[in-house]
Amino acid sequence: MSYSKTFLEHIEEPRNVGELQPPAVVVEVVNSACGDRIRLSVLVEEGKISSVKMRAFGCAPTLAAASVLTEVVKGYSLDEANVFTTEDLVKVLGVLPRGKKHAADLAVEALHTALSKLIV
Amino acid sequence: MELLNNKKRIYFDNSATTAVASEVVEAMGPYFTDFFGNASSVHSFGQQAKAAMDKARRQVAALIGAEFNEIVFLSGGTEANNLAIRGITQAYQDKGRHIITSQFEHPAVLNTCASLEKQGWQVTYLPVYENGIVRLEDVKAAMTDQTLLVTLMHANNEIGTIQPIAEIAKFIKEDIRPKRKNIFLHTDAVQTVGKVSLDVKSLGVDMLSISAHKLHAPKGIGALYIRKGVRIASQQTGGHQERDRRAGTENIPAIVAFGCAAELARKNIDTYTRQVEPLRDYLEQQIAKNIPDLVFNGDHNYRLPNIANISFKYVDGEALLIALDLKGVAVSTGAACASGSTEQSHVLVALGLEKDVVRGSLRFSLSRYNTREEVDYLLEVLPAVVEKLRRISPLYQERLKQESLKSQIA
Ligand SMILES: Cc1ncc(COP(=O)(O)O)c(C=O)c1O
Repeated sequence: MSYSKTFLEHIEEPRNVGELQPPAVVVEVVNSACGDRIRLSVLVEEGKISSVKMRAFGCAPTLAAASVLTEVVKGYSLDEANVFTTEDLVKVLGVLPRGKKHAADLAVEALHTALSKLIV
Repeated sequence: MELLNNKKRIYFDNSATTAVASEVVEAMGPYFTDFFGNASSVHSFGQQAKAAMDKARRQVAALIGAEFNEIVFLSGGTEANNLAIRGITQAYQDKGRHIITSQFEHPAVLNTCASLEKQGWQVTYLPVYENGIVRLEDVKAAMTDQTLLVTLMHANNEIGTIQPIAEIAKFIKEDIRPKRKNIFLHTDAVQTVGKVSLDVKSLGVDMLSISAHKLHAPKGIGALYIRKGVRIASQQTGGHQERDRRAGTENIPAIVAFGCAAELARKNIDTYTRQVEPLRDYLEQQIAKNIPDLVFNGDHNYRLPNIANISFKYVDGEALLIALDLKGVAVSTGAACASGSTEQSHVLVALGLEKDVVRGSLRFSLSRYNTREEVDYLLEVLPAVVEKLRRISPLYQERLKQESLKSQIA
């Protein structure tokens, strides 16, 4: 197993665990194939993501992806957040084992789902 | 692992493989450099190799109460299971074409049976129930006049439950064999040998598989016990080694190591009841005391002394495994998630456990080298690791919410 240092640090000490209250939006996305789930809270103030929290259930890559995501996107403008991709997240997470990219997909899906709720 | 800047590394995965005992390493060394002969050679080098192999064969035979010529050396548990199942079905194929096995065998048995099914054999996969034990009455009910082979593991590798092999052997001997002499009983005892004293004659089996790397010898060596008088068809063509049952130049250093480990295991067998079992029980009791929402998997009475299989609800076993590895503790899990679908342990699924219980399962498997200090270290780090993963888990949050709702209503 060759997880990156960043990945392992986030498993040891997951960041931004928890949930935000309204007006933050809270979404939960589930990978129907394996049951992994991420609950993401996003607060936007003055066009920027000012606070992000997460909870996650699933294999280590899912937990690490959710944790890393919260650190990376904090401070992003909505435009930046909207174009954020799985590949961007994997760059920070480090290489994932074969068959584990879905963990990063799920985290990015959570972000975009939250953003779509904001805009309406 | 990189983050493991610390010193401590503890191994609780002895069902996967074991450390080679230092005595064993020492015993095999000279057979690489000084006594490297081919056991089939006539000169003194060959004769030394042959003598060493004979000694090892006696040591392995003594461990299971077999006779010298009833031990066939081969490459390990997988090959032993293949040779037993393929060898017997091929040798007696005109005597019946039905096999009885169970749903929670090792893949070396399950996949071999599946491949025979493709060749027209009938296979019955017996249920193992929630306690992980096959029932004699199911064996009786599955028996037909076509049944040639019953192959059931002695102890399961994930939950450690021990199967009623002696009772099944007695039934076959008393009720079936008088009518049909060509019915055979094979047991995969890879997890048992060296941990529970076992005697092939009182067990009453015709064939028994052993893997050396589970008892502190190297990987790639093992044995199949074949009761005198039972014929098997060799599965590879070649020389006359192992009395025509397994062709190929014998791996003398590994065989010597296996013999040495077998003798050590025989001498130390009571450490499993005296030391390992109490340590395993202590581990379980302390975990039960300090961590809520657990499920203990497998029968509590009929099982190996060294395995504990525990499900930690609301967390994923693989995440738990990695978090524990970061603390220097190696265990294994029945949940492995790949390509976005969770591949669950066929053993835990066969027990009929709920998906979530399977998902949170961890196996702790000890050896005679584990210490109380090591278990105490585990007990020190595990509750916090589980708690941390539960705190992140949305499933656990939901459970907490429901609990507090319930207490408000009450
Ligand atoms: C019950 C059981 N049977 C067979 C095997 C296979 O043995 P080997 O690794 O020597 O091929 C194992 C080891 O994983 C096992 O646990």
